[in-house]
Amino acid sequence: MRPPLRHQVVITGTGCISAAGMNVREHHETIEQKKRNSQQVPKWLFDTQQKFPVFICPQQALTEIGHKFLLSCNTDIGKHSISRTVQLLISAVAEAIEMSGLSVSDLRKKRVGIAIGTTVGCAFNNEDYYKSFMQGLNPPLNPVIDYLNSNLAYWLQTIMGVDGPSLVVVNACASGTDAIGIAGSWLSSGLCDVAIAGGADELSRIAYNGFISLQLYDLSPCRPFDKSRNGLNLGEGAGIVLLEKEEEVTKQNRTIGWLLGYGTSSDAWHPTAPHPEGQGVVRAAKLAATEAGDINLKFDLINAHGTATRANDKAETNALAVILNAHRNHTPIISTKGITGHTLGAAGAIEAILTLYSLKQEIIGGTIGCHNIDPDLKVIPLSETEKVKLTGRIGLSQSLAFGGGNSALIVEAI
Amino acid sequence: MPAVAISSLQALNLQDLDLPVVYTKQLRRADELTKAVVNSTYLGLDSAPMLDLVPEKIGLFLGTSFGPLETNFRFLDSLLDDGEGQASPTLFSHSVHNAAAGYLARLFSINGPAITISSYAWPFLAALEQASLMMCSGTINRAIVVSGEMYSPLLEHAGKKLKEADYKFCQTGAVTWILDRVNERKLGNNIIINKIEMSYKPCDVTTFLTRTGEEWFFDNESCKVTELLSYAFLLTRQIQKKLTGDKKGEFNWSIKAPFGQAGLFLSC
Repeated sequence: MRPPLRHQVVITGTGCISAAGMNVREHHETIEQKKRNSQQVPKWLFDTQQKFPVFICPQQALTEIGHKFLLSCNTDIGKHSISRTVQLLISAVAEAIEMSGLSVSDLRKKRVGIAIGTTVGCAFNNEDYYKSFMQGLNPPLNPVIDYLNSNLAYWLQTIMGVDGPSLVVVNACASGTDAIGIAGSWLSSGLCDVAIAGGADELSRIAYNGFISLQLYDLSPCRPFDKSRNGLNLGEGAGIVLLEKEEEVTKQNRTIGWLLGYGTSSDAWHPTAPHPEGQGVVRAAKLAATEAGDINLKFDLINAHGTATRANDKAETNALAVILNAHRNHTPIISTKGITGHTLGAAGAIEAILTLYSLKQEIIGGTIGCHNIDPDLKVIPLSETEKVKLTGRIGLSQSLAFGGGNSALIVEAI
Repeated sequence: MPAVAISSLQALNLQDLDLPVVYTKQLRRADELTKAVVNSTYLGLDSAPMLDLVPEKIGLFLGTSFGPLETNFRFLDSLLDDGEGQASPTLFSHSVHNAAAGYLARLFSINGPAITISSYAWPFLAALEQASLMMCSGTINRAIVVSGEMYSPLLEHAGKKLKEADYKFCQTGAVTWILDRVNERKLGNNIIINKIEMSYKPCDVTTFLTRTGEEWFFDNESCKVTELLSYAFLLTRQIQKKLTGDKKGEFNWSIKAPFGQAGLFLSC
């Protein structure tokens, strides 16, 4: 008999924005229709001669619901410009809060934890200011002040006027996953009543050229798990979950799912490459399963990191063969990066949300961009043309990062 | 809930850096921030009790305000000078905020969590709080808590314009504390962490850089904070004094600033 699972941390709201859609519903339509919104970098984003495709959100990244949310905060935010990463964050936060049925004034009466993952969002990337400074031109300080004003957690806490623990996680591509896991631990240990957690990242010229310089970038739209895969495509976006304690939510019937477990483990292996056998991924998944209450937990869906680099997909599937063990041939495995691109600090959060909603809808389409599965992979992910009916409610979403970080979240759909 | 004790503390500036020879090769491409955090962690672990710990049960928590900002600028230099397609991949991989944590994990064989946190207020305390939580939950048995910053001419220039002409941005430096569960410790005095509190409030964000109006209190002493990392350095030195002294009992450290307040409640 299966041990009882840990249903302490409830998911009551989700918000999502990326090239695949401006909200969670649009993401599912994109998956359903197998659409790929990749394109060349538009002029309005930044100037580049490079022709590598990207997955970007519309120029106006602050959605209508995001605008309404800012108004409901009733805070003077006119003094500083809002970075694109903050706009993406606000759009996802607003959707998650609205879905939860709570309002900003409800949240102001509670202890609200805020944990946000990012990579680009914590970097000073204003090239014009930097160039002027280096030329000794003594430029006006506005870009520096905007940078100081853009710590995502502090910014959100300030505009919402809420109290509680807050931090920004900067664990590269696992940041969003870690932020959600950390926020879950705050709820479990009583540090807060509600948590807003996830990740947000805009696309920057620096990150774009950085991944190109590492020769990890595909000139074509990415093909996770495909035999011919040749690297990732960057994207941008935000994913946010609203987490609450079980006892607060059940009586109000607001549950949409549970965060059952979180695990994180370091490879201690290489600055940018994963351990070839994915040892850290295995440990992270096992830790998450242990926290969920059953180290032998059977997963009904795996949303892999699946970046489409040769090293990531090989290492990750090696790890999944160990994690799934006897179930390796029966568990649906997908990557959603074929529709979102790699959204860096937002990726883990967006993917956890897409995992939850696929479980709720009881159906999952295959990995967009994957037509000929690499026969060297030790597990067989779903290819683009496949569609599988999901019969269970438990999913694993995992992230691998530069620096050797590996993190995993286990979610259960109601 | 197991009590968490501070086993060892180190604080050093880059000018005091005496890089362990054993790491010279591995650190040949590392930036100054990484060198500082590796050195302080090496010294911190060297003076911590020898415990029989599995690498999976050791966690790393690194707090920083600005991370490898100058390394990011060096990558930008390579992009601006050499052009797109010619930028340095090595500099890019070192410009990521958690690059230093990656080095620490590799050099000290840490297979537990390696979490890097960014906060403009008190990143060391934020890392300490997260480390204590994971210790108390039983996820790990030892935590390496690190804070590091990198000297930035660009931010020093901004600070001079915002505050005064003799404003100094902090030198590249790092602080490392080693935390163990009390029942795991076999040697030395115990400084127990009883509680960590932090709260933030809206402020003029330039105080994150200038640290104007920031002041800490320890027992009956107080001191103005003038640089980004100085609160962590001062706190480390005060606790080192406690560890070598024979005073027992509870002692509290607190800090107030325009952007909030924090407290660390300890007993010896």
